[in-house]
Amino acid sequence: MAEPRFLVVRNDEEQYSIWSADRDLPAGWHDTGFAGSREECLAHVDEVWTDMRPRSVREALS
Amino acid sequence: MTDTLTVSAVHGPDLLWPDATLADLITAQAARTPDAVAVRQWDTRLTYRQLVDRAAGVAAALREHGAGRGDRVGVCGARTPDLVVAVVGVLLAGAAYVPLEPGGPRARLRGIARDAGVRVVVGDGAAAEFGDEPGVTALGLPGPALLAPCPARPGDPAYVLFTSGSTGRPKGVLTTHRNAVEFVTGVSALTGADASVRSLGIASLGFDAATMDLFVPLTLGGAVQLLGADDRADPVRLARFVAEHEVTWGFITPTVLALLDPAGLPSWRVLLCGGEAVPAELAARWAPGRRFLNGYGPTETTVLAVTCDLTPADTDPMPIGRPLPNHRAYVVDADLRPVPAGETGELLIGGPGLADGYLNRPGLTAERFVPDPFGDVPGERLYRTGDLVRQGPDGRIVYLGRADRQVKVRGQRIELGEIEAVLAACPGVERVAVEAVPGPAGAELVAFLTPAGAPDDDGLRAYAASRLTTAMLPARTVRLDALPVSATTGKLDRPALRELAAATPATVDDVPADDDRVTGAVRRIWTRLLGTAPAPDSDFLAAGGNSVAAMRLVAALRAELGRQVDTGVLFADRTFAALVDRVRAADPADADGLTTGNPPTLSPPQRRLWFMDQLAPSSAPYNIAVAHRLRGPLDVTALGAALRAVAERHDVLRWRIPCNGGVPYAVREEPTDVAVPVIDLTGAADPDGELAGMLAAGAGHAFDLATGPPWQVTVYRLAAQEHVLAVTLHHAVFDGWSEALLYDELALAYARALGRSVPGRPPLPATYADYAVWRADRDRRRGETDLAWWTAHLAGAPTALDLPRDRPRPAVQTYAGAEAAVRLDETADRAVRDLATRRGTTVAAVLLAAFGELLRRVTGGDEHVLGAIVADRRLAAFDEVIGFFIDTVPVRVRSGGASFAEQVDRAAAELHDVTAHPGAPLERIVEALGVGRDTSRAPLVQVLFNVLNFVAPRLTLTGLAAEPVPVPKPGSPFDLTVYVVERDGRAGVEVVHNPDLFTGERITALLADLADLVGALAADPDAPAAEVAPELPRPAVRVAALGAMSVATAEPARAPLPAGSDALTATEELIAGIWRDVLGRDAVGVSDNFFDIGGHSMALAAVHARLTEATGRSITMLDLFRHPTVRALAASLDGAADRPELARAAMRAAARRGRARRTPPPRRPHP
Repeated sequence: MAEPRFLVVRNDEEQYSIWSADRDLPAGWHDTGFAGSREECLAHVDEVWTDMRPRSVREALS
Repeated sequence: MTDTLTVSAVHGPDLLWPDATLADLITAQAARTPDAVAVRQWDTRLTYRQLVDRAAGVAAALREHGAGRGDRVGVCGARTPDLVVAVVGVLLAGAAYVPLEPGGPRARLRGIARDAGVRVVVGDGAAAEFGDEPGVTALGLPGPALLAPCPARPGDPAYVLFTSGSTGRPKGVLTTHRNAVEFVTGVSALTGADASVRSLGIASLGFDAATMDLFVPLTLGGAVQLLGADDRADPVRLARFVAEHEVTWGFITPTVLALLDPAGLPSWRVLLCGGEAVPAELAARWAPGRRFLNGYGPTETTVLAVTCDLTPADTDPMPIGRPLPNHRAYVVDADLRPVPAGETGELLIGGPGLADGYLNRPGLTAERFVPDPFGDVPGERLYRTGDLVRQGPDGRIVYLGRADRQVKVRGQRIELGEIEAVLAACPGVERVAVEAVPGPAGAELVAFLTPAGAPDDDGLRAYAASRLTTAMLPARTVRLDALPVSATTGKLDRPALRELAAATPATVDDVPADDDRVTGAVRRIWTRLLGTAPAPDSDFLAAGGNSVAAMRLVAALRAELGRQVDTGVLFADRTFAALVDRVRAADPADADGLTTGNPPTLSPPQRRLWFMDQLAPSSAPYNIAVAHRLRGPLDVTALGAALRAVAERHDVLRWRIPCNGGVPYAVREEPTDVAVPVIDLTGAADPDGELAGMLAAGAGHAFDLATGPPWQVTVYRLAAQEHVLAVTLHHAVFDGWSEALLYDELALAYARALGRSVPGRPPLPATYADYAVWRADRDRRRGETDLAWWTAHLAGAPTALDLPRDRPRPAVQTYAGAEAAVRLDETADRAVRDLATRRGTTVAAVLLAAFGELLRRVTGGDEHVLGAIVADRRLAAFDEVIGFFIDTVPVRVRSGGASFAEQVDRAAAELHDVTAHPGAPLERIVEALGVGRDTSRAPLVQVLFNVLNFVAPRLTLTGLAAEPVPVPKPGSPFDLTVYVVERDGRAGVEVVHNPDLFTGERITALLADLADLVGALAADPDAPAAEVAPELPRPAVRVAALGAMSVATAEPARAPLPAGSDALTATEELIAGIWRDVLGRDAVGVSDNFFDIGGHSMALAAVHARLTEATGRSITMLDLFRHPTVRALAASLDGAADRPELARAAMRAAARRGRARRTPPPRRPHP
């Protein structure tokens, strides 16, 4: 059986998560275009999510 | 999708919360109530002003070192109020605090500081722990500074807590101000917390529960009662701290709560328990008399996410409840799809409590915080808790275990949590943890069970075999007193368990043959608690000991060996051999000699009550009567079955006390169905009036101890769904402590009788008869020493206390009772509490001292002897036993020539000292003091000062809402009984007095003046007490009614007794012969007073039996009392055709039974 595939997804606060590739994406979440196994997706998040503050907080600070 | 109709999803109610930071809320509160106490630890108090001024100093210092918004600052300090200053200071600076607890493993501490990017550490431990760390500035606490506004915004992190990860590398959870403020608002609303809250500051700062401890009170104007390290480490000290600081509200883990006793902690009215599964047994013990809430939540959802009230009716597996306000909970399968309601799945939490994520761990954050496919707000996340739950039929979520604890045993995937849930429901098992360890044939399961007396392997297998697959049955079981817990979080320590499982299982039988008793006992306790048998040089810490283990060890030594060892010893000189030496050197105590399985045996206090019963057979001052109104469907048959079950377990309720030759003894009846008469008042014209009359009559029921049950139960039906359950018990088989036990047992037995699945209770470790036998032995060993102490202590003290009264004292004591109460006003209450705190004592001691001063002003005497009540439940084995464990002891109160503060100190010392000499019961003290017997008053103690402050426990019956119904006290065993109480948060006293002596007006005035006097004295404790408020009490209290200070001479002047003649009459000869036999004397004179030549109560009973038998006449015990010489008694027997005095007493008793009673204050049993 093939390993389940996941998508790297992001919301408007620019928080990242992963989501099963064969399920509808919940409202307010967007596909970042990266897909792979769970491990691959999480490794990708580790690379791209560099500022973990929610966008609204980040913007209020600057 | 159709399954959305039935999925497991629960939403908490909506609740607004302030859009502010914690720092904003605290400074705003400080502006409102600058002088209120914000933090207290014994004598150290910080007002809000001090807290904020000093925190502003910390913030200023942090700013100077460049730390502010967006930074993380370490807090490293001992558990003193300064720690709170440091925390608030970091928040005020706009930074997030990172708890770095001093004294832990240094590498871990520094690793966390590095991970968190901490450049500044503040607190009194900072220099010691970080002084030599390059790149880190260690700051002590600076002085106060002017407050500057907090630059942080609600979305900024407030703190970062590091929790241990499965990989072993701690992960830091980023919690924002918004998270914390929303949570604090929700939990405060849920628990009714307000400015009066005094929280239990027990959680370690690194545990998320500290958010509750600190910020609930500090945002409301309440006060944090912060425990120091020592008070936190010893259950007895912890209990004392909670009692003395009058903690009202607090969170605690079940593991630590299990070490405390609810009886002494009445002020703690809101108790949140959690951090790990709450056993049903714990809820049953603690829920009565307070709100008891389960609290569930991972750090990632900000302290608590799911909660509910627990009651004794809740059973394992325990519900964790429903989401907090603004939160939602879903139960899902491995693919995050909802499961049908009632099925097991992983718990997901959504809502404003969700943390931002894990510091510098984006991948891990993305894994645990997932998109919310269920909610209606786009872009929301849910936190995967990793906990397995299901939704119960009542909608509450039930916790089943961890989801990630799957192991493979012999090829099968096994969920350890599932095994734990099954075993936890096995009767006799309290807590369970199952771990998989490598074994010779692959992974093998080891089950750890508490208590040490949990069912054996056969019993466990019999229960589990039909509920678990073969592969799920544990290969080994280990029984422990308690499961190991982490010192930081107070939660189950699984790594320690795995080590324990891997180690060769040590058994309790593994004891070297040459152990003496003390060594053997300490070895057994050590082995049980730490899992491995000690060698003489075994080191407590190296063996896995920590502060919680130390606390348990000390508790076990106290409970099982009766030895008091300080926890400090375990850390100072840590070897097993040293501990044994310390235990040996500690005071030998009373635990020795407990035997079990004894046949029914009367204890000395029971004999005393039996004697009182013989003396006044028609009155019932020693009854305890309670009643509850039950709303809902009452199953009377199930109630009868439940009562029978209670009596089966507590055999003292089945005792009869007949006598033979004047010697009472106990026999036990076999269990029978308990009759539950139902009296139907549904058609009554005045049901309330009739109910009140019937309750009073039932409370005054005269039990025949020789032939009938010592308790009775009546149900009054007021409507189909409304009943009153009334229970009256003779004090000889019951006491105040027993009340909570009765309710707990009844609740469980009733649930079982209704067919609910209720875990069985382990057998009682001891019976009342075992107490009586243990006590007889104790009294034999200690009796002479203790008696010598009492006679010395009471030498020269007055033995009668006559308060100014309104009516002559009846020649024969009556037992009529009337009630009154007073509560201190707020100022007096505060003054009393402050003084108690300053003197390191209790409110009761202050009230006793004030009462003593009042007595001095009223009687003119400098000292008085009152009675106090001591519960002789000195062994843990008696904790769960219903029965009469109460001693009345004399208390010598000295007033005069002193400041009130000194009087309080004396009263405190006295209250302490009188509990320490239990080997000589009151009868022996009375006898040894040679107190003359007098039918008009109780010997030695005429006024009782009762400081045993039991919270009225709550009855909870399945399917019924129960509320207490006041029942008038059936009578007054003393002239006056003073109960120290707390009502609605203020101290007060309630009294029962004898209306044959005092009018209600006098007693009411006396109470009012006492309340005023205690307030005045406490406000001016250093002045000579006699000079404070000299106008008190008012003349109406001070001065007796005219002629009332006499004893009623009801009997006409007696004919002079025949004197001078050496020849004895036949009656005199008969009596003298019986006296000689009973007292074991060769000769008695006709004019010798029975009580002066070795006679005492029980001897009198023997004389009474012999004389009744010899003469065939009906003679009352009282006759013997009133005529204590051979000659007087003979004259009375020969010439007593007409005895007006006794006839009058009988008439008084009859009148009393018919008298309408005043509405009493809330019910409180006699001691």
